Amino acid sequence: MNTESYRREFEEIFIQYFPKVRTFAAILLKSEQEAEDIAQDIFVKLWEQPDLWEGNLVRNYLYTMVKNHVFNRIKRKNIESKYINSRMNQLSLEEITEFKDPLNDIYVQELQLLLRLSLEQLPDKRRQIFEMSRFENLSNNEIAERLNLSVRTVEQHIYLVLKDLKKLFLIAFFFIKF
Amino acid sequence: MENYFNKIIELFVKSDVSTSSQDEFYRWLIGEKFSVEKEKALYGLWDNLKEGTPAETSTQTQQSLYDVQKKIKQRQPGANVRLIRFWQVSAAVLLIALLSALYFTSNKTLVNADLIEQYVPVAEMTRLTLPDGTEVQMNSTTTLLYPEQFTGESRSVYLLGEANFKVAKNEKQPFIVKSNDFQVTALGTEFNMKAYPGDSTLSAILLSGSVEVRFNNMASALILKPSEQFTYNRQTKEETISHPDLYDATAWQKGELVFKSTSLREIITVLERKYPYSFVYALNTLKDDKYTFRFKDKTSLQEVMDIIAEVSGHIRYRIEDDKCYILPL
Repeated sequence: MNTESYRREFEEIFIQYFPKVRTFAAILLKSEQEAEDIAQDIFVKLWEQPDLWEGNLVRNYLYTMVKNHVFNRIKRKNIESKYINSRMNQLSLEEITEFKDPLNDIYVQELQLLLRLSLEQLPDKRRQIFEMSRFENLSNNEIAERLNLSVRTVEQHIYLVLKDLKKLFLIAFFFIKF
Repeated sequence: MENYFNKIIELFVKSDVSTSSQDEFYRWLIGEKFSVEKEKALYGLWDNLKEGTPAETSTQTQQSLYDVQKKIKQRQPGANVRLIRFWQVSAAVLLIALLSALYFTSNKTLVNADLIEQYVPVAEMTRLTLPDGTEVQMNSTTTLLYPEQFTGESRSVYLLGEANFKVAKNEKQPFIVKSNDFQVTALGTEFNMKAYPGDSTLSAILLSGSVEVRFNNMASALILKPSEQFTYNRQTKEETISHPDLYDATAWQKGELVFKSTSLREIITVLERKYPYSFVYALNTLKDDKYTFRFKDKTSLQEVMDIIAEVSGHIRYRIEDDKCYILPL
């Protein structure tokens, strides 16, 4: 293969896969700049390994590379605040999952994370009310007082959160069972 | 519960999350528990991301391509010739060795001449004619480097792999094939030279005319007579002269595979060049017994392996995708 066709082949692979690699890193690291750096490093290295430039091989190679890069960056992030987990523990997941399943104990970490991320989707006010209620164990009256809202509004917010979460967990849970 | 894993990743990916939730997610993601499930969910995420097409390449991607090409250039300054694939030996070192070799043999006129690289991939063969009219037939996974024009006192080319040379007569300008550990100089002649980087032995067979072989850091030399084969062992530094069957020795040019009292390990090395499969096996599976086989042109790997398995009696094989697994019986 001469240099020119070699370069063309690389460009084709680049155009096909570079956006995919960058997006994968960006959505996991939540940083466009880090993602761009990672993706460029990976493709600079790929240039030197033309024996990998074949359809499925290159796809899987790029996946492995980008995953490892992302994991390495995460490991370097020096993640803090392990104690937050314990606060979450106070929340009875049964309230949301509505059923007692032995598997819930096995997947308790997953369920907690799922709950946490679901809460992130909520509007700020609603999440705040729910966290006060369930994590800080404040009564609806106390919450209403602190936020200067009516008790009725607080109840309504909590009701809506529970409804959303139940729906989400139910879908997540049953999807696999049936 | 796979869906828990997919759902967690989906939720994380689709929205902005607070730093503490992000940390929580990262801790979970790189945690050892359920790593298989997480891996599956991650691969699912990768699989669902769109691939680019030339038509919808963004300017951002173009910019990235430009950046990457710049970085690639910085990593290999001034290298016009790319040495590819199986050349896992330090390409740069060899290139420098080659350039200086050309420099010294060519009265300094070749230094700026452009080198052309011809590479033959696995399972293929190529015939080409060099600028001086010399005909070369190249075996699979072989690289030949030669200048655009043969100027200077000799015609030097660089070979990694196996090729047959029918050298155009020019007594004023000897034709030299250089390789890692030895070189062959010819006037007007036909010879076959084999110098794969991974092999422990190198060889040259003279078909007609006469050639001089230099080896052992160019300190030793001998002249071959027609039909003689010179073999040089890289490790032991021993050379031997033999008289092989010329038909067998050049059978590869007709696409045939000939093995004469060859061990299975050596046979597999040849098969890996001839067929686009990689072989997977444990070294202790292969005994040191020697075999003699002859396969016609266009014999499929399956047919070859059927016969080898049958004859050897101690292995079986399985072909899956582009891999050929060799297992003890």
